[in-house]
Amino acid sequence: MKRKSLKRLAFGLGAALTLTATAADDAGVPYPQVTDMIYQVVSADRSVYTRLVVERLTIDEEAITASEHFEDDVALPLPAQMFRFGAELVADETEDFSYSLLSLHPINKKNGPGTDLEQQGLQHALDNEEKFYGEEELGGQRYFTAVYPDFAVSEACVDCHNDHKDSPRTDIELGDVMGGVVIRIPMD
Amino acid sequence: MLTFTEEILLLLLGEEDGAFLPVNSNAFECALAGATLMDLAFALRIDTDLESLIVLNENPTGLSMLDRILARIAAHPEVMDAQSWVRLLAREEANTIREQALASLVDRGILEQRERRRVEHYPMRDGTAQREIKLHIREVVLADDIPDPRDVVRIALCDACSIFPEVLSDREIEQATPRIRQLRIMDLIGREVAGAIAAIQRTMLMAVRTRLARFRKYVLALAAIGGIATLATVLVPRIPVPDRFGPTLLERLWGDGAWQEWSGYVLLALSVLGFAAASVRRMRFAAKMGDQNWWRVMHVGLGMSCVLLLFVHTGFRLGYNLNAVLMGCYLAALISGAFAGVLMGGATQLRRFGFAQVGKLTRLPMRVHVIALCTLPALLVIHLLIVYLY
Amino acid sequence: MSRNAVIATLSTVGTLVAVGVVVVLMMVGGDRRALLIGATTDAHHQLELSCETCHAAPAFADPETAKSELNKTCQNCHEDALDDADDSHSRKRFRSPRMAAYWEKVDARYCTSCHVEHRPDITRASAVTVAMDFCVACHSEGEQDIRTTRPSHEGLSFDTCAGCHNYHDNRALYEDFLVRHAGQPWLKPEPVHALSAQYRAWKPPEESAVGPGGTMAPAAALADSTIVAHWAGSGHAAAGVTCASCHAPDVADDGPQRDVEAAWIDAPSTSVCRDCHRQEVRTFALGRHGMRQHPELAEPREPGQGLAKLGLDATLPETILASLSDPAPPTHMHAAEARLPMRTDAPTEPLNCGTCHDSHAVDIEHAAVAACAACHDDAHTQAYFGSPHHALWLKEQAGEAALGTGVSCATCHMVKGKRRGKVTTNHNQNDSLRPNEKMIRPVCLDCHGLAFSLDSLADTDLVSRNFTGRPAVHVESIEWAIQRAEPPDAGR
Repeated sequence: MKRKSLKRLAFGLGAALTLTATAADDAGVPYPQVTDMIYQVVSADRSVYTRLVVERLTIDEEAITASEHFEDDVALPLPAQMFRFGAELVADETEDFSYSLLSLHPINKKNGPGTDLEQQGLQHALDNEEKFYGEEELGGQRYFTAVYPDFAVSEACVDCHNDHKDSPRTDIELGDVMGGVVIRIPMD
Repeated sequence: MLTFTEEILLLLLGEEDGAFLPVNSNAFECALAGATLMDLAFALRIDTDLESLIVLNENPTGLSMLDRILARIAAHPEVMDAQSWVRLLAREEANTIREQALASLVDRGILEQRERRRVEHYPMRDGTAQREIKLHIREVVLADDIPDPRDVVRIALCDACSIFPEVLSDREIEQATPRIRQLRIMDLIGREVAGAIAAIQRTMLMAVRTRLARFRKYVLALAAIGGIATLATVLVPRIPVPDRFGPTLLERLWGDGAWQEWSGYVLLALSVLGFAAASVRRMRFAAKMGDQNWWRVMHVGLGMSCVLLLFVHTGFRLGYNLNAVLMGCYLAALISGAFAGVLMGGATQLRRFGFAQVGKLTRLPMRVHVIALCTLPALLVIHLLIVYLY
Repeated sequence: MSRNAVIATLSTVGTLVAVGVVVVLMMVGGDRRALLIGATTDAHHQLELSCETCHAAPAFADPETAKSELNKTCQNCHEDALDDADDSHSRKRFRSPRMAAYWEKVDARYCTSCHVEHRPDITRASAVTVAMDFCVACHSEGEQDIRTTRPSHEGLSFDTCAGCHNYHDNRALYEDFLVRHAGQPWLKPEPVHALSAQYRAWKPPEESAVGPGGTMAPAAALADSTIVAHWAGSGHAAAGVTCASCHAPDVADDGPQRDVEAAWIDAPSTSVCRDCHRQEVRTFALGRHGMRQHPELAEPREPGQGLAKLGLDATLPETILASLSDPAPPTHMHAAEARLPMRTDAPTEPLNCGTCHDSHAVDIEHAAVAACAACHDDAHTQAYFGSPHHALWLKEQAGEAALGTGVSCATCHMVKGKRRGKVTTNHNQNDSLRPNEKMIRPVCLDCHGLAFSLDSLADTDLVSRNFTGRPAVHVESIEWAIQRAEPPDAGR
């Protein structure tokens, strides 16, 4: 049930972004610029959720907790989960673009690099702390793929990742690159 | 008096519907050619020994059908033996001979020619002639008298075309078989005309039999393999769908839409070719393209490969609803075809074992084969519609 | 004409007629069950008359379109349940191009990769049509190789996965959940199904009981005093539901009498139930009992539209159009159509609210057990009577035990849920089944420990004995989860 209302919210986001991508295409906006714009939106939304909802309610007000099993624990979804739910709903609504939050050290293995270019891009983001653009072919379709470094911006992120039993990396510090936001646009 | 050619044609017409009885067409054509040569020999126009067939007298007999052949033999630049003439005439003249003889029977008021002019359709106007011939043959075969030379020729022709089942009952055939054999090989040398007759008769029989024997071997082998394969795959338990995940060959064959599409169309193509081989065989131009019997061997061979493809396409799973009906009809066509093929190909051996009525036996599977095939186009189109619409 | 020509003509004419009939069946209207290429799976067999419910792609669509259109119709009915189950392998996740490498193995973007309809020869449990060791496709190599990432799973073969895991719904199997519920006794000290207790304790406020206008009805309708007595003792009477509320729903409850008489309906339809019991009627249409009322079912085809599509004149006389139209799909299930074993004397009338809830007595206790056993006749149902759960139910009914201690058929199969503070009964009997582990969280755990519940539901013999006895099977999930969890509350 909670998922339903989430779906409505994320649908709005997805629709807005679809519009952005389509408009960009018509105007002939270069791929890097489009992915930069998408990144701005998704990353801003997550920051707002992290600061105004999760950190405020869990740390400042101590009104509720945030949990991976938010339904069972009657808690808030973690910011990374909120980000992923949005990405899944966008994938459900459109094939014009897709995005995901990945890492070379993921807690859940399915969020590790899945393609050669993802591996390369995440490594580049980790090493140079800067974004990476590339092209790759997946399932017979050519994609423009951008990888944006994702920094550890709050204690909550760092603590959870360092403590989780499935985390391959336990020495993360604030400001470190923890992973990357990968955005893909099919090229035609 | 009727010519041999007319008699043999008359015997081959069904009493009720005026359609020809199903007879091996090759034997039929050789018999017609042989009968014409016999007619010429009895009219003292030709003579023959083991090496050559020569014209004694070029004067017309008064029967246009015989005179045309006589003229052809006379005009032929080189001298050939009787066997070659039987073959040549069977190949090139059989149809004309048949049509002229039928026309002559119509003129004599024995047959009737229906308004829609189809050569196969000649209802009996006066059945007495046919009855008399049959009666006469019965008497000759079942009596112990020494037959006259004309009767010997009749017996040989009937045997070549396997029409004794039409004339005699099963029991009579059994009783008469030794005598038929004896009459057929009767040594007629020493009589005035008989030398010629005996030679033609022998070569005619040889021509029919040696040529058939070669093809019968193939027909028998292919039909037997096809029939056994069909029965085996229908009766043995289904190969189960593999219980291990993975794109195994069997899973692809019986599960993957694209593979199913391919195997289905190849099966369809083979079936159509098989049907075409059977139909073409009956057409005139096919005779020019090669021996008719090759078409039959091809037909049986294609039928056999259909069994294989059917297994590839379905795994011999019988299907459900209309698909099951389609499968049933297809299998009926395959099995009846194979059965008819075995009977036809193994006719000589079967006769040797005492099954004299092989010709009659073949008729039932042939009918099943044709009826089953008739249902296939409808069921196939429906099968395809279901696949592409849902 | 020769015999061959007759045969050829007959065959041609027959082919044209048969193909014509089938084309009309497919494109215009008519009963198409003869065209089914294989028996339809359980439950879907109820919808056999309504092909378009699933087959929505246009005729002769290319395979890709056909596949994705088919997928959409699957989702029409199944997506909500999968969303609620937090689908472990959701379609959304696999649609991302970064999963392209997996599409080659098992194309999880399409339901039909594993669930093909009309193929009984390869259909396994839960309508799966691939070999049950299918996990091997993705979880046997690289990062996803379960035998290296989970030491406890090292020696296991892939045909054993489904013994514990489910492809879609693993809500009762994730590690933290297992760890949190470790070490529980088989039976809790105070075994009570909390929502059932709440539900049964609920009484309508006294002031809502029916006043003098309650039995306003035509005299003939009141002639049967048992009906009136049944109603008077029912929850309906206590909640202020009068005769007219259901039999003359368009008239105000307090009359006047002649309006009620004028608008009186002898046998009101289920839609009057929906006016008050929306949640129950909605969920009823999601399960096997009421799925013929599912809102997503396709309507019968309009023969006129089909004719127009074929380029034919659709202005045919009504009678011809009517003869071309689809048979009306049944709007209700009947016990006789069920594929589970049913009693020979099961009710023959269409299955609706009144089948289990007597229309006037509306006895929920009857609906919870006796109504089920009036039709169902399988080993599990038969074994219920005399089982420990049944004994508890009888005690609760007799007032000898607390509310919520008894376990009826409905406790497990029509699971209570709470939404906005109100307890309602989920009338989708399938919601806690397939796999039966779906029952663990909303039902079993209220009274039993997780380990015992997992073991019991995995023991098929015990299930058919209706849980008389102890499980003979042991599922090691909890032990393995604890081995990995150091400290136990990690990841929180």
